[in-house]
Amino acid sequence: MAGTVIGEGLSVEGDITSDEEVVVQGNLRGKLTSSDAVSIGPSSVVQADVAGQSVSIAGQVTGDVSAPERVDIQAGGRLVGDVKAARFTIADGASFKGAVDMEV
Amino acid sequence: MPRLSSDVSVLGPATRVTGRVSGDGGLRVEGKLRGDIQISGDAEIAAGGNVEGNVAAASLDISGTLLGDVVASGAVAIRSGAVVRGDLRGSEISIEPGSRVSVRLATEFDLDLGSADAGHAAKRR
Repeated sequence: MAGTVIGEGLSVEGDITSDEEVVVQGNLRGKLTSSDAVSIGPSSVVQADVAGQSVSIAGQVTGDVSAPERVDIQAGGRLVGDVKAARFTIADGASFKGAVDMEV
Repeated sequence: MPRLSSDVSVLGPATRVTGRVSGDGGLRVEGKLRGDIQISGDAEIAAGGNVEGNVAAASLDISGTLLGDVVASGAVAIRSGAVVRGDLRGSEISIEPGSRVSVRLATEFDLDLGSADAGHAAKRR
């Protein structure tokens, strides 16, 4: 179960720090840090640096994204910002602008 | 993705938020929020939840801790075990035994002195 859900229609302006799964379906401006998985839903608009164990992006993200495990931009997802992750995928139909650091 | 219903948002027990939460839908705080809540739906501060900030919502149900003022168009319920300090405004306010409160209450209703059932009628508004 997702511990934290920012639903569609909800906006958070500020910092979110978590030790559980975070699902964002609404809007976020600020910063999001979790030691668990982070998922940015298709309807969401995020202007924040995002850090999680893994980060999945199906919505729009402006900010740097880092994850020790993996970062995935899903089809329809859009990321403008730098990625730091051991694994990184960009699905067909996703958009991405930024630098990638896979710590090689 | 678990819990796809997105009209109720949840700040989980292992989550801390510093900032403002606003918008449509309901919100349940199980973790810690330092900042204001302004939502169109129902708000709940669950047991173990902690809010330092003002709350504006359709209704508010508190089992956790709230330090801040409340404006609700509907009911404000303070449950057993809750700790609340602030000014509360709502259509009706209930305080259960076992809660610790230091609050100022403001409810808006018409007292119908002609009816023996006035207390009940006012409560139902």
